[in-house]
Amino acid sequence: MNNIPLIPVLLLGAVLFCLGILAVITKRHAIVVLMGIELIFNAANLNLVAFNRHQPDLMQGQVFSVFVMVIAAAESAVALAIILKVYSYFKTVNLDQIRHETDV
Amino acid sequence: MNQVAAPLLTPEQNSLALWALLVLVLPLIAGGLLLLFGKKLTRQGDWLAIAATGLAFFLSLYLFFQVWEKQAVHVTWPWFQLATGNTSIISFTTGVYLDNLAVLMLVIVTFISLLVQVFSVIYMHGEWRYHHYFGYLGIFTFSMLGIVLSDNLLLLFIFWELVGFSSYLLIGFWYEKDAAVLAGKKAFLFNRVGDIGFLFGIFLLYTYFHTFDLILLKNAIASGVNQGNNFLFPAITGQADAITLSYTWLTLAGLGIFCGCVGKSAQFPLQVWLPDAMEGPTPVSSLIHAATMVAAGVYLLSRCFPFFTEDALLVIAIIGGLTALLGALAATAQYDIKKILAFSTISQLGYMVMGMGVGAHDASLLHLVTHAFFKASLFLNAGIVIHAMHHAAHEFSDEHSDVQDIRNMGGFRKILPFTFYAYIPAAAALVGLPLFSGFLSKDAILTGAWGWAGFKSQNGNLLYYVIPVFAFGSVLLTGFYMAKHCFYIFFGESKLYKEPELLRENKTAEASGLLLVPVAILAVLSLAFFFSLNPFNYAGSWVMQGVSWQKLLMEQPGLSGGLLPAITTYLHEASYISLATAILSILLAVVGIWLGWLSYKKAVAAGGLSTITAPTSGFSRLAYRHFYLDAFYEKVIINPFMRLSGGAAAFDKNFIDYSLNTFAKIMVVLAKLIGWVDRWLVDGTVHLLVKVAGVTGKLGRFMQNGKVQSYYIFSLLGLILLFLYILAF
Repeated sequence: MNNIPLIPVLLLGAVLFCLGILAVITKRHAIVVLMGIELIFNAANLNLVAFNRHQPDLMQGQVFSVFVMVIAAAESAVALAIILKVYSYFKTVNLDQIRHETDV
Repeated sequence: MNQVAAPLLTPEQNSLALWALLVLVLPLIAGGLLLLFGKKLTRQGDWLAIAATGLAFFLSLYLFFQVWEKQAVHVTWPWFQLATGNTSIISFTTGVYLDNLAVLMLVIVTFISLLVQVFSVIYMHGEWRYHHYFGYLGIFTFSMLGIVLSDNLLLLFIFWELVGFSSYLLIGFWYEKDAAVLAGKKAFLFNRVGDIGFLFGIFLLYTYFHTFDLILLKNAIASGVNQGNNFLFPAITGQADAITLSYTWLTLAGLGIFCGCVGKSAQFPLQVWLPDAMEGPTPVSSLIHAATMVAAGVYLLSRCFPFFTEDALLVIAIIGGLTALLGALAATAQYDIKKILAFSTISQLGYMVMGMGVGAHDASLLHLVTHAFFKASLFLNAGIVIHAMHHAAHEFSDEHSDVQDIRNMGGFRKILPFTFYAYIPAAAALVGLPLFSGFLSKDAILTGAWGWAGFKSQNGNLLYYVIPVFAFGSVLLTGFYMAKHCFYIFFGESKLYKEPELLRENKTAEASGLLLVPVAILAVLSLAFFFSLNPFNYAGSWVMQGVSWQKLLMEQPGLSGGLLPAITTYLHEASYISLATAILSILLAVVGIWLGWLSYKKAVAAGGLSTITAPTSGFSRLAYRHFYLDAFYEKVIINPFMRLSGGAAAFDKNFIDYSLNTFAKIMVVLAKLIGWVDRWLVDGTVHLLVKVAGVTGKLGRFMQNGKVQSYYIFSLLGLILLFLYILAF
């Protein structure tokens, strides 16, 4: 357990990050996009945890990932509130259909 | 109106001058109205023209009885002023001069104009420019009266040109015919040639005498003194210096004025326009090209008579005699009813001019008066005949025969008897048979010419007798061609149209009364009785006494000073001359008529009447072609001129136009080049900038598409680019 190499973990984090980005870019549903963002957060957390494993002195990585989780939770709450608001305003959460067409 | 030069004018004279001005403008007003509104007036306004001319005629009669043998009226008004370089101002006056000659001409012009207009009512009936015709006649009458009334050379010249202009309009009245257009142009141009000389003469006189006023000029010249080769003249009223002028210059001035006469009165060598002028309507030929306008030259000679030196008079006499003979010769070979009369007019005008030249000033004027009546009558007669021929040609739908050729006529004595009896006195007057007016005046001129030749040849030079010989020769020829004219038209049988009824108006009347009355009046006036109570003695004629040179010389002796009294003395001493000329001229006229009869008989016997052929013998061809004068001008003047203008045109086209065109082409190529640079470089740069801005704008718009996710992609790309930048550097 102790000798899990660093690189595969970082690669996994990068893949997760890319998948998150992919979800954010391609998905139309706002909540799925939010899920993509969560993936990105987790990719970052994975990196932090992996780096902590190699330099465990002060437990900086673990502490940071805890902070990230807290912020992600807060962010999700805010984002969900926004999505709710958007839904009540536009009657949809499909990002393609949400356009604030001031110029029409 | 304030008078300048003549303080002695009575109110009566003033009013006479105003009446004269009214006579002058009446035809102009009528003519102007007709030209502008003629179409809208009833009968196209011919009544207006005739009424105006009639009124002018009666006013002229009034003036005639007020002025003739009583008083000369000279009223002047200031005309215009010119500043000269040295602060002085030259004033020009205009005015009216009424003397015996002027009032006589007034009456003749208005009278014949009136008769011709009455005649034209029927003759020109149905013309589509009927009102224009009467308008033109009005303008002509106005201009002619202007010549008669003017008291100065400048004004006279202006009216002189106006007369030429109205003559041009009337010759070319039927401008649908090419011949009429060409004839009008020819008349106009030939008159211009003479007028250049006339202007030259006027300028010469003005240069030395500083006035155009005929009366002042005459007074100055009358009191001139001969000093060797120079004449010394006293200062003219209102001028400071006496004038010295050489004999040559005075002769040239006189010849210059005579040039005007040569053009207008159809004298050799400019006479060729008159026969062509017969393309105009026949009443116009009668009024303008027989009775009045062509006589204007003779009138001018008479007005300027004191300005001529003896040498100038000699030239005038030679030209006149030559013209008389050439005109008569040409007339013998013609067969066109009007052309014969036209050449006869040239010949008679030659007589008048010759009369002036030999000093028979009064005889020449008498001939002017009598000729005006009988020649107008002859032309109007010809008009009736042509009218009848046209009528018949129309009935037969004959468009090929020449209705003016006398060989197509014949027998009109029975068909148109009234015309025939009106024709006879006029023709007799032209031939110069006793009891008719022409005899008086011709006899007077012949006597004058013979007396002049006798006087001049006292030094043994018999060449001077050539002039009277020419004149007597013309008498013979006149008898010949008029006899032919008369026999061909009025005797024998009608050649072309065998049914006499078709030539007449209807069964009872041969022609409309409006055609016959003017002819009848003029025919009656061809009798000698009206001009002299004793029809064999021209000296007793009232016209001669009214305009006699004795009267002229008493007032103004003139440059040729002693010539006229000397000739009179000579004539008085050789009193047989008067009788001899009378007998000789009658004899010649009768022989001429007899020859004409023989020629007619011969033509009938040869059956030559029905076949119209061009003349064959050498001489008749020469005369028929008018001595090839036209061909001569064509060859010597017109053709070289046309070649010159053709050359100039070719030079213009091949050199000037070519270089201009080449230059223009170069400019076009250059412009194309500049245009290309403009389009592809200058405009291209601008377009490129526009494109760049457009593409940039499009890119920006593409990124600002309102989609959150794409914003995200772009910011991510930006971040990646940032990373790459940091990594790279």
